[in-house]
Amino acid sequence: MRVAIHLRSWLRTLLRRSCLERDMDAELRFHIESYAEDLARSGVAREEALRRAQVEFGGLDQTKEECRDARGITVVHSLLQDTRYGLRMLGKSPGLTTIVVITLGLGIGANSSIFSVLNEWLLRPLSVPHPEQIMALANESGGGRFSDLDLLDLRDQAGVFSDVFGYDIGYAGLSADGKAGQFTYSTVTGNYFSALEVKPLLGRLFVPGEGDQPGEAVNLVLGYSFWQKRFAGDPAVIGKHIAVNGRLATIIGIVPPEFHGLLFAFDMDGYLPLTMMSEGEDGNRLWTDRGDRSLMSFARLRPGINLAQAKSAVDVIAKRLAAQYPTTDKGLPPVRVIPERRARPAPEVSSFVPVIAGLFLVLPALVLLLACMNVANILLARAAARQQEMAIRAAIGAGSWRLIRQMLTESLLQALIGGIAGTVLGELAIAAAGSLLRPVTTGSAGYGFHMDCSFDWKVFAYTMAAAVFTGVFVGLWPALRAGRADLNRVLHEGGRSDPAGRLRLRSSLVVAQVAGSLMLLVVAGLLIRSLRHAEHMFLGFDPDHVVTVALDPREVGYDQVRTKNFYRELERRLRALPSVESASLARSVPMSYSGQDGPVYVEGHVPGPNEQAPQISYNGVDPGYFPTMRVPLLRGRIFTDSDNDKAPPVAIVNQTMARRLWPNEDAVGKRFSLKSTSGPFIQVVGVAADGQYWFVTSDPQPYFYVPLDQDYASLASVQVRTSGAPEPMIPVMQREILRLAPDMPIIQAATMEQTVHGMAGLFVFELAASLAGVLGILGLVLAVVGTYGVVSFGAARRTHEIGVRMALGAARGDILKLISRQGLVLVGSGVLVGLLAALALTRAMSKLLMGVSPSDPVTYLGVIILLGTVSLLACWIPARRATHVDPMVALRYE
Amino acid sequence: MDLLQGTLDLLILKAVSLGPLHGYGILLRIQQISKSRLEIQQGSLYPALYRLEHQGLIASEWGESENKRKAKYYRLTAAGRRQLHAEEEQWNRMAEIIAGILKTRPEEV
Repeated sequence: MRVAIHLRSWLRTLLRRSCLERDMDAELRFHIESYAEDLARSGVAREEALRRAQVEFGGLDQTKEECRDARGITVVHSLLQDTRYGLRMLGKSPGLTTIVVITLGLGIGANSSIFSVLNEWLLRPLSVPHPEQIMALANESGGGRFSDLDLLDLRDQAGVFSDVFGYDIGYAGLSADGKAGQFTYSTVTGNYFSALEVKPLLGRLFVPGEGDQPGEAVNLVLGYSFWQKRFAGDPAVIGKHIAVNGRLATIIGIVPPEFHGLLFAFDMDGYLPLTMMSEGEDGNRLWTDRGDRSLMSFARLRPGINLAQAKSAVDVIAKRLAAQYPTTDKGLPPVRVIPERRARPAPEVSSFVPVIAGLFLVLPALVLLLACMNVANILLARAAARQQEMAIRAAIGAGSWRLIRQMLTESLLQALIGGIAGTVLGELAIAAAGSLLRPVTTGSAGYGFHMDCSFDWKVFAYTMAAAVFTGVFVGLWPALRAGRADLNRVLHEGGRSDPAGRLRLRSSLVVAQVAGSLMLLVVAGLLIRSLRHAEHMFLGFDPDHVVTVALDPREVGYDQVRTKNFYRELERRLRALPSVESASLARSVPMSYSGQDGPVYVEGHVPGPNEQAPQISYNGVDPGYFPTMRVPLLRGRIFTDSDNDKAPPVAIVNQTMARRLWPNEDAVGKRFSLKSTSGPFIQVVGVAADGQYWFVTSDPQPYFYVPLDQDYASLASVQVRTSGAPEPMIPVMQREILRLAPDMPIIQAATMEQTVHGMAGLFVFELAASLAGVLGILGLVLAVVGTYGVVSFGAARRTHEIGVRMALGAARGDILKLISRQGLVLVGSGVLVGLLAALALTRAMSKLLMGVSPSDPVTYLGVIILLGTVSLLACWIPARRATHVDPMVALRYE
Repeated sequence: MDLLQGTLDLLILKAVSLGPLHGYGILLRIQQISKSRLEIQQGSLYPALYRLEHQGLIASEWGESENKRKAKYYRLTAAGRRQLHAEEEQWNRMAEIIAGILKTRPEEV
């Protein structure tokens, strides 16, 4: 009630100010004149009466000011006044304002751009109702995926979830209206859309159970952008029949534009039911084989159920399944339940996420802090110059709070302009980064890429918070000083000298800046050294001159025999090409996002009561793989053509697996099984060198190879080693494939070099190193400017002293020493503080470092030398200038 | 006699509770009731009026004065009336307590 009255009064005050001012004038005049009339009536002369009335009334202006105050005008009014005055002051020194705005803009921009990426990655919820209820389920083996049978059991048994659903990614050729093209889709369980609560934009979406059986008719739901792109947004496509990999499908609906599917950073072209996967003779595995883990699985929490409850419920079910179906599900538990947002880009790498996210929140914050300190330094110097102005304003009646507010308003204005500049810079940076990122993520298969790092309220709030923090941070000290402006002292000292306290404050800012910049540079240095190490590290194969193309003949309905013939013929044709040195076939290649693993039971080893068989990744390869990829064989033999499905199963293990499973023994000749402790067994025939497999990691992973003929899969990758440049080989291979099978979709085609630098390879390291590098350079520049500023300020302050010293016979060298010593002490203390802080900070990022210790002496030494040299230069230049002071000029200047 | 700190608001509320008055009228009314024993700084009256109006205790409108001039008249609002009662009561209680204290003789302690 009170508030409403106040608000009304304020609003009236604001909106009708001139009117109110007039009223106030009229009212006061009426008072004085009435009083004068009364006086006149009691016999005082008219002129005299008016004069006395005015005198007795008191100061008219002061009364008016108090009246305005009483009505609460001043808060708003003086804010407007401060802002106007502030803008005028900023306009008066455009150079300084530009420097401040650019410095803050860089600091804020670095923050807002990195934050908007983190926002999209970690904070932005899925565009579905109650996105916080969506959980990713991740199995420890099989790349985190589930088989359809396990998924159905989870759905039936987990009362904590209102629904459990899954999908897989597929690539196909889509032809409609006589035109063929590539098509990236999700094969989804029938309840996918109902569980996500996605509503159709047009037509209808799948209903629970739809297409969940083999041999059903195939219906197709289109993604919004694909519909726009391929069918020009024509609503008449509903009901249209098209061919997906030659199989007839009916378009039944379109998803709304904000829904892109569940695969992070991708935009699905369409959605097909599971029945689409039942192609070929292998197709029934999905429904019958519990070990066929092909579905990425998600669940929607029932309202009121928390994560811990869901976890324990899922744990019970997973253990039950493991006991019920030991052959397939022994490796199923523990199943992790992860909120969808934290399972991006994939549940199995989610442990990296907090480290990277944390690092990239800390680093730009550090840059912003450095920028703030620089600006605070500049503003402190300026506050010194404005001391007289402040003192005079205080003398004519401005309260100290009023002066503080004035100074803060100015710095906030600068910070807000800086914030706008930063937003623009940040958006530009994002756009630049997006165009760099696109080729990496899309490869040559042309998947729809979707990463919306645009501004939303979170980015806006973050940027504004950064700007306001910045404004208060940089303005607070100068403002507090302005509030204490002492007319007497200022006029007495002529505003010339600067109190020692201010220099102390500015000096500690420099120490902090040097320390902060050292931390940034150390992080950048470590990441760059780690990247260089990763680039030169032996990957376990030689990626030079190798091209790989991934295919899946099952997509076009080939059965096992036809698939094998197709691959054999393709390999034969490729080998016949002139520039091809060798060709091979494998289920996957390293760092290509695909692969498989299984529990390994060593023959003769009796597992302890709680011992789990280790899950080890493996690859099915043909005899050509080792020479084509140049995987060094250390012992034993490679596969031959006679290692086929009729011969006894064999394997080649890597060094780490040999060492772990058969310590101090020769692995060749040993046997292990993927099924149980009692076989069937696979015999080790060779030991290959260690390498990198799924992702680039710092610790060696166990791995083994089996002959492709003994581990059939339709999805495979063809490798070709060329004598010339690898890129021109891609279209040649595509042509050969299409000549053999005209409608065969090519899932991926890339040089091995591109794959190594891709998302699962070195890309993360490159991105981290270049980001940290840019931030490090920013920090260095800011620290150098700060140091330079303080030392030259200190030197200028001592011009008089230097003059006296020189007049008394001090040599130039003495002066140089005198002035630079101050800078040296600052830089030295900064380096020391920074070293301690950096040692603490880098310990947290050891996960991101490859072959480099977090306290790598080379990095630390290099950074100290770099920072030391540059900041010494920043001290030396102003010190040298100080030695050129002409004593006569300096003394006369007083 | 100078006005006790903080009592001007109470006097204004009391004055306008007897009927709408313009600023000068309020001054005259207070002097009249107090038989000119209270000294009010004329300039301090208006900030107090504006404050009370801002708080919603009094309301104002323009009217015509006894000498046929435009003048701003203040009247008590409902909230003002409640406030006046509360303050009256508080004042009386306070006066009673202070008077009691001042009457105290040494043997009573």
